[in-house]
Amino acid sequence: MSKHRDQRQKMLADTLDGDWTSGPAATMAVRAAALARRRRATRQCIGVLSSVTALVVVAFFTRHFHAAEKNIPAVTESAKTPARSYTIISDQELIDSLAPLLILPDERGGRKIVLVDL
Amino acid sequence: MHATPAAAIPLDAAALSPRKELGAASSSLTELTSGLARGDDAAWAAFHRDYGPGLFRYLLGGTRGNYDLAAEALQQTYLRVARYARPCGSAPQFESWLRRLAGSALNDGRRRRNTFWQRLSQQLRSDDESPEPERIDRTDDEKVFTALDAALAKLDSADRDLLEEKYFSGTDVRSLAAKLSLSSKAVESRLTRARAELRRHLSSLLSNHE
Repeated sequence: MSKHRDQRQKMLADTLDGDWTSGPAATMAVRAAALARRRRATRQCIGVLSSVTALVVVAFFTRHFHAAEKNIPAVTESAKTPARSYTIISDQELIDSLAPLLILPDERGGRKIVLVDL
Repeated sequence: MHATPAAAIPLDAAALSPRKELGAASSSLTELTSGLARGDDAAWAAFHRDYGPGLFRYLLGGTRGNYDLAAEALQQTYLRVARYARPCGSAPQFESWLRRLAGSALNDGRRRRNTFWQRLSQQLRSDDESPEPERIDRTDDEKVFTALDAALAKLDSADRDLLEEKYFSGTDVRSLAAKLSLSSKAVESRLTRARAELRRHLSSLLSNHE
């Protein structure tokens, strides 16, 4: 039964374009095989290209960050300590730098400035 | 080139032969489907030889004997197989997948052929009359064999005998030529004419089935 079915199926297929396996109908399979090969090659090519691109991107960013790290200036000791807004001096220096002036109350209830000669 | 056991399994799941060893069939089918995915010419030739006739019958049933549409859908089915084929070890799964691909390729083919005017005329019809998207069922598929038998019966007896000798008795062209005292070329051309006549009857019978 199955054999008879296959034979009829073959006869039916041959009515399309002559011999099914070697006639024009066989070019359908050839075309499909070529398409499958092209797609496979494209897929492989895309795979390789994306791997290469990923590698290049990783390498680029690694280099970039490495270079950025190198460019950060070293923090020096002087930069660390902020500049003072005062100077420490000795008592003598202080007396020298002060003007020898005295502010004294006068007879009229006001104030008078007296220059002291040291 | 001989068919591998799995590749020889017809597309029709009802005709699957239980005598085939499942393991061997499965591994051969895996090889075949892997070859299809790779674009291996030998695998494609085996696929065309073993699955092509079943697919064509299926599509011819679905198109009610429209050879052009069936051939176009078959080419599209092959191209889809080339695009999406993956290694598969299960024959029923593979066959069901092929049927789905063939059905969708046929629907797309119909849509492409549906011209603006046809669409307009469909719009003008009432909703009840508008055709449903056609589905191929097993009865359509079986109708093709019934129509083939009827078409064979309609043939001239000499042509029918020649076709039956070639396909049912498996006699090759050279033996037929010797038997009929004709050259091989003459037998080939008689076969071509007989097949063309068979195709004509078959198309007309299938289109009248609607």
